[in-house]
Amino acid sequence: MAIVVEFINRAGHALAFQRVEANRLLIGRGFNQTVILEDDYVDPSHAEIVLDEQTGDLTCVDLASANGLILEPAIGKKRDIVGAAKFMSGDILVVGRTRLKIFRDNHVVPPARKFSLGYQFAHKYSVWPVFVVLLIALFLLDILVSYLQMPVAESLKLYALQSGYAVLLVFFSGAFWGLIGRTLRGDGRLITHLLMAVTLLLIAQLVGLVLPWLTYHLAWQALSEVLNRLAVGLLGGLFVFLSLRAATKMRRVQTVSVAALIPLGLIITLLINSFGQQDNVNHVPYLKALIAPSVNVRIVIPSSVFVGDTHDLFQKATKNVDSSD
Amino acid sequence: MLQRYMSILGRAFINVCFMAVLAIKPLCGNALEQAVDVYASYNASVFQVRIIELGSGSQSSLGTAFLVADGRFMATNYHVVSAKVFEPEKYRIEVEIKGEKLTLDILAVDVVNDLAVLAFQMPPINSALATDQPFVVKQTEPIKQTESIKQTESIKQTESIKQTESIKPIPPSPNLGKGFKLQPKLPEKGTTLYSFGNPHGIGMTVVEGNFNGLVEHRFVEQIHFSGAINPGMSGGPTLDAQSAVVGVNVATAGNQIGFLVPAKALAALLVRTPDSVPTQAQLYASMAEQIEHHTSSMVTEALATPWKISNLKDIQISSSPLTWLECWGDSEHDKKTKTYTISRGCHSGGALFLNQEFNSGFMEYEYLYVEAPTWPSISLYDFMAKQTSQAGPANKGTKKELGHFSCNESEVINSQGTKARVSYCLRAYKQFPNLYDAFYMAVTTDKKQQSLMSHYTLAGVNQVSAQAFLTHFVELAKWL
Repeated sequence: MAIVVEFINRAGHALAFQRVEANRLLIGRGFNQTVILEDDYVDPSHAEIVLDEQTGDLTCVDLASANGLILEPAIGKKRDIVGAAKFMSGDILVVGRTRLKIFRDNHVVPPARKFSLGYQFAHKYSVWPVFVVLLIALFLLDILVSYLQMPVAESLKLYALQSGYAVLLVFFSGAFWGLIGRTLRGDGRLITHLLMAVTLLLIAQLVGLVLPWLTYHLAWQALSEVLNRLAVGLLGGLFVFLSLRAATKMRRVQTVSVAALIPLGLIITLLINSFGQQDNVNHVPYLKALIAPSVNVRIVIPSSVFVGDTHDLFQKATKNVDSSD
Repeated sequence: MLQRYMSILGRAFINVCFMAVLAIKPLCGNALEQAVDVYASYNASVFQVRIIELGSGSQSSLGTAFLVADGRFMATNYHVVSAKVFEPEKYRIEVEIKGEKLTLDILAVDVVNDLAVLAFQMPPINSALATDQPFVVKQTEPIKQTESIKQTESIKQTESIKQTESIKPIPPSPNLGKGFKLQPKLPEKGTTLYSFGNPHGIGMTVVEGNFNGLVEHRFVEQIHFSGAINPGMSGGPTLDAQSAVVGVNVATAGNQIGFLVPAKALAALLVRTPDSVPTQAQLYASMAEQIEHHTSSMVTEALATPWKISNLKDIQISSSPLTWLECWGDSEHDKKTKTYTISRGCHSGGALFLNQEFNSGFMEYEYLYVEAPTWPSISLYDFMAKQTSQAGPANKGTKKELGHFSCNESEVINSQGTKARVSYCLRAYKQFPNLYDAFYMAVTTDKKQQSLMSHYTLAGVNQVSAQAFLTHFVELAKWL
């Protein structure tokens, strides 16, 4: 039998594996050890691991180390090892600052996962044509949105030029994040970031098209303003988060959280702004959205009913005054 | 809005009054002599009134006031003393008579006609104000020198003040000046009138001008006076040759166009004036009643007169034919966007001035028709949403005076079969219970290439008037 040592980082990701063809191994900083660690907090001979050939039990022994030995079992609480202790295959040993996952070599490993559809797709076909198609879709959608806002055929050329900004944005962000990935990990893929940018911009455009419809049918202007801001903030945040994840593989959690502060701050200030606006008594929170009759499915009431319903509004307005005092 | 022009010392007007006096001099010697007579006999009854901000101790605004009701009261414009109405603890009304500074209280106001009646104040003898202000002690002296009845009265009053420490108005002694007589009848058109006031605080001035009848197309009566009225003259009297008050200076449109409040409004206010200083709540209540009466009569009159039906291209609308509504309109064929827009609207002229940041008593309505035959439907409604999203209430106020708007939203079909997105919003007043600002915004949502926005605001209405107007207005639009 053999013992397998997996070096993991604090997030639990495997950094390296070492297979030892013996039933006992020594862990330490010394060069006479079986598993040599580069960690100033580890003793030259820090711990010993014993595998019982008959029973398959794993035992760890603290060799009177300065900083001790900590066991983090897969099930149960973590604890300090005093002297020796048995543990299960797959538990984590913390030696100094280094984290090791210890396995028997007959530890059961699940079978291979199936490729996801997206993965299969991306690998069966080249991603570049996909990206180009999405980019063209974004370009056309951008023109369409501009045209719908002011349907003047003469301005189409201008709208096309303006859509160029969206395309530029995609390439810029791809280059930006790709560069970060390359600098941090040495393997930033330009196409990943380009795809991410183009997809999120497409989603943003589609949300922009759907939002008025949603607002109109919710008939709640204040909520729709918040929704709008949230959508912008969330999509922006998602974009930064995904790009960061792709660029850094989350190896630098602190960097990630600092970067996340920016979109988060944006969302919070936007929310504060929209609520602050409602504090102004000259602000009328009436429904501002409008949609075409063909997609309008709001319930229609007769004017007499509407007028009748407004009686309660007087009490509501009076309450507004009382509550603000 | 004209009251805005008068926001005392607020704007630098050209010194038209000097030029006017110089120009008149060689023309009408006789009239000038009359002006001299009028000035000589009554200049002691017109004073500059100052609103003192207590924190800084300096004046925040200036105006003119004059003695009425046998010299018992002072009359001036409401807008001169409006700061004191809303923040009585922050301001003091003051006049200087023969070097003595006297404090005044507000007895009654008329916010519709922009008038206020003031009375001299007798502060409690042992109050901080009394010790700080030696004039109070001095002021008691002339009163004591007068007739014995009045003397005993005043002594009684001083005693009662000592006991209760309450503030009560005291009739000023006659030597402060004689009160003006009022002339509620309007003179002949062209009659020479003499306006008194203290423009820009440069000194008491008499300005000659002509009576030109009532201002046409106004809901609230005002006299058109062709003479130079300038900031600071607000609240001053305008007299006829018999030295009777015909009107009270209130506003100017520049270029010798002045506006006066007719004397009959002042006479009516004097009848209502109480004998004691009202509490702030009482003052607010009377103001609320005035605003409510003003808007109710506007709405009633607007609804009583049949509205004139007219067409905006393919949709039928109505508008009120009343002459006091100021109406406007515009239309445009945009060749580039291939759209056709028509807009029409009316409003009731100036809103009632309540204070620098707060006005009310106003109505307006507006239509906007947009047609875009070549556009996709989605674009037209997007365009309409942008066109109609900037609307706000016609009158302004702050959190101190107004609550927030609450809205009802619905897709409404009216009795004429027109479908619209209707938003109806109301906000209540903090000081004036049962008064509301109503905001109505409707955009038709039944035609693919055409849409009509109809909108109105009513400021300072009661529930009955608001509902009556809503019931009327919601039914107006009809597709042809």
